[in-house]
Amino acid sequence: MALDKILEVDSLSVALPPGSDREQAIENIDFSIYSGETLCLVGESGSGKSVTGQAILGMLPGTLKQKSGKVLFQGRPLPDADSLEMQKIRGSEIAMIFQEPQAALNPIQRVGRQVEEVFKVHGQYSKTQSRTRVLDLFDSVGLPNPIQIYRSYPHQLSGGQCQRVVIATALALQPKLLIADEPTTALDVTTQAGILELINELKRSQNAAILFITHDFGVVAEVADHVLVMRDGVSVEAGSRNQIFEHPRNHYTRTLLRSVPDMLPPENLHDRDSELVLRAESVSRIYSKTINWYQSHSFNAVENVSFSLKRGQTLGIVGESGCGKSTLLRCILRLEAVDSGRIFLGDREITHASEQQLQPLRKKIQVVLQDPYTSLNPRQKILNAIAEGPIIHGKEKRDAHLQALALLDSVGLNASSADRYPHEFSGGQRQRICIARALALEPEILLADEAVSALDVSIQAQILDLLRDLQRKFGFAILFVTHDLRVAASLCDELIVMRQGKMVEYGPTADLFRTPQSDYTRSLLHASPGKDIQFSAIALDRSDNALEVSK
Amino acid sequence: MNAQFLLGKIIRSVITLWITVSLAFVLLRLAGDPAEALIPPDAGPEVVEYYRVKWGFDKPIHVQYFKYFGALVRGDFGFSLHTGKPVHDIVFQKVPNTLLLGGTAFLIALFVGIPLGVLAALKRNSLIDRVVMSFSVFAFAMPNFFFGLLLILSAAMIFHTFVGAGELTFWSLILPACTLGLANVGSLARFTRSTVLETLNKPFMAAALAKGVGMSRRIVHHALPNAAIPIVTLLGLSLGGLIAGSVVTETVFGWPGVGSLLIRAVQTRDLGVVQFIVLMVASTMTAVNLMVDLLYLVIDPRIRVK
Repeated sequence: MALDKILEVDSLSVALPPGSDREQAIENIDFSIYSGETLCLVGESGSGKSVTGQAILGMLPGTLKQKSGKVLFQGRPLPDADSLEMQKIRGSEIAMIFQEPQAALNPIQRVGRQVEEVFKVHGQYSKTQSRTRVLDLFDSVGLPNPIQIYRSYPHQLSGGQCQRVVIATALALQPKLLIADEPTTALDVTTQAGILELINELKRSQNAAILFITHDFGVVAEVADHVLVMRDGVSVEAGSRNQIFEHPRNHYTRTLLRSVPDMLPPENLHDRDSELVLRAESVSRIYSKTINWYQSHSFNAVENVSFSLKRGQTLGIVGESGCGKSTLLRCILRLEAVDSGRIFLGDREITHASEQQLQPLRKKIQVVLQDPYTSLNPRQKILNAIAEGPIIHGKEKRDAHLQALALLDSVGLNASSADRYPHEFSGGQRQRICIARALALEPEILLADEAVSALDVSIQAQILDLLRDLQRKFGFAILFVTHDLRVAASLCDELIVMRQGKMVEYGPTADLFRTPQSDYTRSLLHASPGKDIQFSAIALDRSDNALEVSK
Repeated sequence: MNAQFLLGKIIRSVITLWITVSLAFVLLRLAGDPAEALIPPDAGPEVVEYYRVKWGFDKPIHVQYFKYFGALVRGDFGFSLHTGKPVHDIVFQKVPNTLLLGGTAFLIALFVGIPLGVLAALKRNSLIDRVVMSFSVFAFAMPNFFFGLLLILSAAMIFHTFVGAGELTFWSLILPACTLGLANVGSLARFTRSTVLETLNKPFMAAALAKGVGMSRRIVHHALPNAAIPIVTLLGLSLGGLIAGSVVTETVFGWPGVGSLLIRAVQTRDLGVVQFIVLMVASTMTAVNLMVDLLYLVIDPRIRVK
């Protein structure tokens, strides 16, 4: 099959509104995509990768303006964003897939009709014809029982099913170019694997050109033919997939790649003889959902989970969304009642302890949450946020403040931060503040609930390093909940794999990765994108070392 | 399942009604002796006592309460202490007027407020948006009685029309209806603007754009039905309010409706009439509420029980 140049982007620049932290959202971006090829735009948040996609489709938000550059589609410049011609191209010649599939569908319209709308607005097929065509499309994107899906509303479908509906919509008129903006970021790893496979298959069967926007190098490894790395609106490196993974030329590309944790856990070096700080004995939590006045339906959110955590050890809980990992965490914190089983903090049982009995014990377990933006009180200065806990637990105000300053130093923040408010910090810095706040009470156990999931990969690597360092220094145990096997591999001594409330597997991380016992663990490992690439082995060159030392 | 949902809602409505009516009953009896208020002050104490016994005000309050409720259940709403006529005859006579006024005001709010709000949302930050928003602040900042007087004066000066009390002409309807509708236009426009804006920023609106759906279809088929859900709530509240809350406007314009009747009845402690009006207003409010709940089911599939 001859390769046609489908899209050519020529020194495209988009201006940010005046007063932003930089002048241009993207600056002089160049690339081309040929039919049957996938180009991955990779970068961290704020790199301008999504803006590039929106600029091509003429869908820039009102505050952004294309400043210069050309976008050629099949050799011709694309018409004006507001023109009728462009409206006709959208959805028929160029289609888009979105990040949050459930939100990309109108919640009060049946999904079948939403796909049909493409035919309607582009004047294709009669009503009955388009219905048959939609059912065919559903079938071809691997949706079971198309007739039932056709009649469903988005909330009745899973995230993966919604994304397949969105993909079906995008494919309806066999577009030449498909723009996929983080299409699997909101999905579980096994669902993600299915969607990536589908996109790869479509590239082959439809011979479409695909612009794939992502932050995840694992995903890049699975789908890319070519890669363009972006940073702060500028393209830093472009090349074929192999070139980028094997011989990255740019320092930033190398740093990014090396920040991706490997799927190879280090051998367990933890001292196994230290004292027990937390123990759960067949903990169960049953949720019941009221159907009506006299009937209710119950299911086990957590079922028979047992584990033990020693001083200085890190135990990971991994699983997909809805597997019960967060509920388990809430049970341990006693934010949620335990329906059966027992929980011990040290040698003290806290399963049914009253709030009054728990109060002095609370400081032994501290939490770091997922979203550093919402987990700090925006109207509280950093110093007070960190010192508040110790003061409540009876520490002198002056001592608490001194300790807070020392902690800021331990998490790598300047003492001058103490007097500032959360909004003055970046996401990574805020997560450092949250960690300092948790450590202020000198906890025995740190509970981290997806604590690095919202962070960019380079920041994520820094926070993971910080956690390891602090653990060595202070000796607390970590209970680390995550959906990300790479993060789990790099941090945890032992792992629990959960599924549908049950503990599927529990053991040393290295063993679990090397010889997984359950089919589910195997499928999770298998579904992890880019599992075969060892990112830490990507060579640094001399200039990188020099930079690293100077830092 | 939906029938069960409906039944639950109806039972709750009946309980709400019962509580409202009981509260009104107790409060009105705490407000003073109706016999004394009704009988001219120069009548002797034995006359007052005679009427007190005749109307049953000498009995303990729970006895009066059960008697009143027993009558209600049989469909006997009581009689006016003033005229001796059955209260429902007196009140229902005025209901068409109030409905006419409230209905017109509601239509004004609906057909002016919502389009203004949508327009402001679509032209966000433009001159149109600012004008609409300033108007809406003006509209609900302006007290009813004052705006009513302004309208009467302007009508007299510009159109040389005098709105006389008690007559039903085009002007005598449209002026109070505008007065009553105005505050609702303001809040409705503002609320519509914010919900439409919120909907316009939803990912599914971008998805519709990417599908090649044109502007007007995006708004009519995707934005408005989604924005309608919170708007319906507000409409329900204001519809109930228009029927109950026309007291001030009706008084200013001398409109012969339930509002004016209520004022007179309260002043003269005509308990039967007041109680019946409270019952009626409470019933309308609950009925409108029920309607809004049912409308949600129609608009939003996420609320429907499987």
